[in-house]
Amino acid sequence: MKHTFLFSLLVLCVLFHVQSQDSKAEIIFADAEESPWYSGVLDVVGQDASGLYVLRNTGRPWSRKEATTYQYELSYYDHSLKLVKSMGLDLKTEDKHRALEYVFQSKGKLYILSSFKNRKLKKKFLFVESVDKKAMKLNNDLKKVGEIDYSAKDRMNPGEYLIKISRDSSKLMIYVDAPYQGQKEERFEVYVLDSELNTLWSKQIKLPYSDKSFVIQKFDVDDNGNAHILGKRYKDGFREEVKDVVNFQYHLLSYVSKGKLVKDYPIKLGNILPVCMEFDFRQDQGVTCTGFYAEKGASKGAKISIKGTYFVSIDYTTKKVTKINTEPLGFDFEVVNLARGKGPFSQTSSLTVDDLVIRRDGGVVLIGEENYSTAVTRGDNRTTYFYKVNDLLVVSLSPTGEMEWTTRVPKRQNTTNDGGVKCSYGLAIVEDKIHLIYNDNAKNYLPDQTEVYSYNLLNSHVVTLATIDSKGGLSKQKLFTSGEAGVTMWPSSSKQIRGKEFILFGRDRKEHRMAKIVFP
Amino acid sequence: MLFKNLIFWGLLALPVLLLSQSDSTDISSYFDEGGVDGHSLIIKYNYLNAANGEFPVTVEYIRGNSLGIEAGVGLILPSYSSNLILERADESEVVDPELSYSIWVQPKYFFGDNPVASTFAGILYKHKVFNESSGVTNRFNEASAVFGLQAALSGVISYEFFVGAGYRFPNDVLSDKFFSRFLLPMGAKIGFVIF
Repeated sequence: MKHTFLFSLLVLCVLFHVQSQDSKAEIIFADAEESPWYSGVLDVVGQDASGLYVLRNTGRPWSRKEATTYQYELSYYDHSLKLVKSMGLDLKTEDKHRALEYVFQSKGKLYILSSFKNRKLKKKFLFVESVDKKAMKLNNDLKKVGEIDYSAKDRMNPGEYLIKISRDSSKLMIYVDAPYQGQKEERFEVYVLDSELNTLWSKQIKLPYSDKSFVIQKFDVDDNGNAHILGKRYKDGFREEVKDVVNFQYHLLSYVSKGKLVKDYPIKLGNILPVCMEFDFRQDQGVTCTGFYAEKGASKGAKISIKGTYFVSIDYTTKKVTKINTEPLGFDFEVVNLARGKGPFSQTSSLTVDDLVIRRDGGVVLIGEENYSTAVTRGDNRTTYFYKVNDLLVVSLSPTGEMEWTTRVPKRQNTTNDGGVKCSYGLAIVEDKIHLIYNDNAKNYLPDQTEVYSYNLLNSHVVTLATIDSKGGLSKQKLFTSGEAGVTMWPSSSKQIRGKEFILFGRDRKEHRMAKIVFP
Repeated sequence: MLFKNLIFWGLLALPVLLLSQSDSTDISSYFDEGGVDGHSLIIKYNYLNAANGEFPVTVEYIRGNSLGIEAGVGLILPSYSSNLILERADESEVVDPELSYSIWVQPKYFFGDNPVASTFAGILYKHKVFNESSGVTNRFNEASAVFGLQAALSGVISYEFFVGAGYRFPNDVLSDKFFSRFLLPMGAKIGFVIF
């Protein structure tokens, strides 16, 4: 009897231990590193079994326009976040400096993309060079992969290279953005490269819409090397949205079969007012476009009421839009209305789809966030920028677009003059759970509090982990306080690595520090 | 016969081989600007000096990556007082001033690769002409070593800030006025990049 009791107690302890282990995320802090205020960690650009590669900016902000030898550093940390080795990115050929464009990992190799503006040829060339990860040095295998001819364009703005990598890292898309053309046709150029950085195809594209009336919103490349571009076409020829009026239509442009086959999918959503759109690729090689909508006439002064979600499925085999579905939210979700008078590139509402997660079954999870900024200029000509980032709205849709659940993550974040880098959230997906990491007011952890206190730069704050399970259930936990971290974390520019791990970057005026969250 | 054939095919393939080889290895051709240096022209307005009552508009010409020359004129209001921004260029001895002018010349050396976004050092020469209502004209020559920063705010808008140290030389000294003194010039300019 006694043994049975002891055994039961032991089992209970083990179970309790397993349960507490299961619900707690582990935090590993790197050593704080002294660095001037203008430098800091930019991104985790690669990883392998023994560590991760981090790109750091070490240059002064006023020389950012053209990269120099000392501006960027690639650092290698082991998985306990100990700095092992660093290399300055010496992007110099024939005594000419190249500007850093992008650093990425493909098939285990690290590559540096850089550009050079040749003033004699009036061309801006794009180059790729690989990194010897072991020796931490450049391999001197510089290769040209793209060029922009700006002989007929503005010398100061020859256009820029925008880069996207496919989900499986096997394809790289380079979108060459031409300078603004006004009433002339929207023009751009696309290069798609394989994992060895050989050009699979490239295409100069001229759309039948004027640059003034068409705004490119997003571009992406799928694992097969097909390029997709989402744009918004304004019917009255101006890039301005009008309150409660649908004066635009989304278009998805798909360039498949090495760019030979072009399909323009106008996305007709009926009598709803779409406030944002995202797209992503499904495993059946189709595309899902989704977002939030309001009803026409739903805006109440400065606010707009979000009514629901829409879901659009495109089938590549039939080259048709096969499914359009709208689903009401079932509760009020009011956000600030930014339409009219906020400049030509304004969006209708302050709600955007920040992340779109395509599930294996073809269903999707949308993560929307209310996020906007305002600027106030006082009499002394000083402008203060206010960043306001509020609730997260997470919605799960079935493979046919029906709503499965919705979860609202209440939060308030208000910062000034920081570019909003300390606001918003970081996303990690571990098995069937969605983890959202963000800066929060410590007062939100007081017992019996009902109000949502706002995170700002003045009060003591914590880093919160909000976890949403596969049924939409929300749980929150305090990961650590700002005092424990010693710096303010920047969750929105942080990154998930190695499945269950998430790297957080943080800094204050004198030092920066990384932290790793290991999810259960 | 076989040897002749080999020579024939070898000669035929040679240009192709050379071409393909040069294409894959001659990366330096993308960086060859053939001695053609870039050049820029920027129109600038020194808004910091406007606080003193002086409105200088200058034109800067940059040749290559390192050298530039800036020159211009400034209108000096009767209410001018250079003490407002600590230049120490005290002209209090000028009696009852009228509308006057200044001439600015400043050769510059840029330390960075892109002069439109770089730190620089230069010699600032200013010739100030102060007209007094009595008809007396005071002319000052000022030379200063300056150090500054030029930044590109956008493709067409530039910003410049400089500080320095210099000396004013007496030129037309009338009566017993003595105007020479040590100077601490500074300025902030907003510029429009023409090309």
